[in-house]
Amino acid sequence: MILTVDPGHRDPPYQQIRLQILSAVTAGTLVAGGRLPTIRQLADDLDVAANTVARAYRELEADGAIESRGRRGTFVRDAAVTVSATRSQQLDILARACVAEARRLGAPASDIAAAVARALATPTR
Amino acid sequence: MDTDVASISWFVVPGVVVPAVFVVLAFRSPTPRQVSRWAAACRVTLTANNEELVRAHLGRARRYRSVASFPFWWLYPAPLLFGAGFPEALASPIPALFAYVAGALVAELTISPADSCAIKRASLAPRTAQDYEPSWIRVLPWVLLVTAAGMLVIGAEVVPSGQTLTAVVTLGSGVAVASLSMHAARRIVRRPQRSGDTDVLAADDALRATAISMTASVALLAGLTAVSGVVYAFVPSPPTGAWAILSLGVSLCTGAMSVGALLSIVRQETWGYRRRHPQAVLARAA
Repeated sequence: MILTVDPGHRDPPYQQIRLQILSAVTAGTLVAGGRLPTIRQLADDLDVAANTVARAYRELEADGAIESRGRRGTFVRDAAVTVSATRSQQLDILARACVAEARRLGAPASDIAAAVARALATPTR
Repeated sequence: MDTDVASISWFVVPGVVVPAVFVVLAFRSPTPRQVSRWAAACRVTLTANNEELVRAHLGRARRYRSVASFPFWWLYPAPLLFGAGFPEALASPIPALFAYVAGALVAELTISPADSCAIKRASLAPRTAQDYEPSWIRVLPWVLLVTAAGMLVIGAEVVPSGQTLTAVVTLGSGVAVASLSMHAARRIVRRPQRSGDTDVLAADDALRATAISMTASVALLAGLTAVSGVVYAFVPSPPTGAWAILSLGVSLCTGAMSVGALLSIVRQETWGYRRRHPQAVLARAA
């Protein structure tokens, strides 16, 4: 999975990292038990401060999406988000990730709302 | 030209001209055939996105190691010019090979990370040294060094004192070089990988594996040198009977393995690695 950080984006870099990882965990792109890069590695690769990645990881841990296992590293949690976050928290997180992605595409708020409405109107199997 | 000068020139000219030709050749970018051979060996598909990265990286390593070893190749025929007073240790291929390997290490350790773009991208796959080299090549140098230390401890009583010191120094140097190689490998793993393009990431991983395999080969050479150094400390001069067979066997084994390790450095090969970013073309082919 490729992470993207846009310094010109409305969200601060730590939030961009957090939302992308969260979205990958909820979508199943990052599987439970999978190892994440170290804070230092990800900060060096993204060319951001180590504190930025550390904060993103801290908040992801608070979201219940990942867990730190000391020297062994940071891992995607088993049954990730569902463990600690409530359904409304999960929905908030998903909506924010979805809106952030849509804004990155340059879509105005009205288009995003219309797309969400269309998605809601689509019958699910 | 008198006879002496003529006979010396037979040795000096190849000693001067041949290294000069090699250095000039090393400054050329790797040929398309060399790059393709490397890519095939590393199972990397060359594309417009990654070919220049590969060519530049391989070329840089070749230049550094050739330039580092260049002066030492020229020292090889020096005793013929300067007489017997010239230090014997300098007039052998060993310093040139040592400088060659040191140059290759410096090339990998001093490479600057790619500048990040306006929008920064990175892979979320973790990197460890284990991804870039098989575990046996990581363990083998230390097995050799421990074996050499064990032989030295067990055989300390039968080894003449002067030769014990030489063996201890060889073993100590081997441990130092192997430790340095491990440190270099960790630094190469930590080198930033700034790209979101699968082709570039795949090529970067293969280049990293090549560099880490080179450090593993250096550690292997250190282990082999330590073993042969300790064995030769035991062997009486001239070797007879069982000692002669032992020294011949050790020479053949360590020599063959050293040539293998050196060839892997020269050819910029890997000992095998885990592909963290499989390319679309290869994935389709599989």
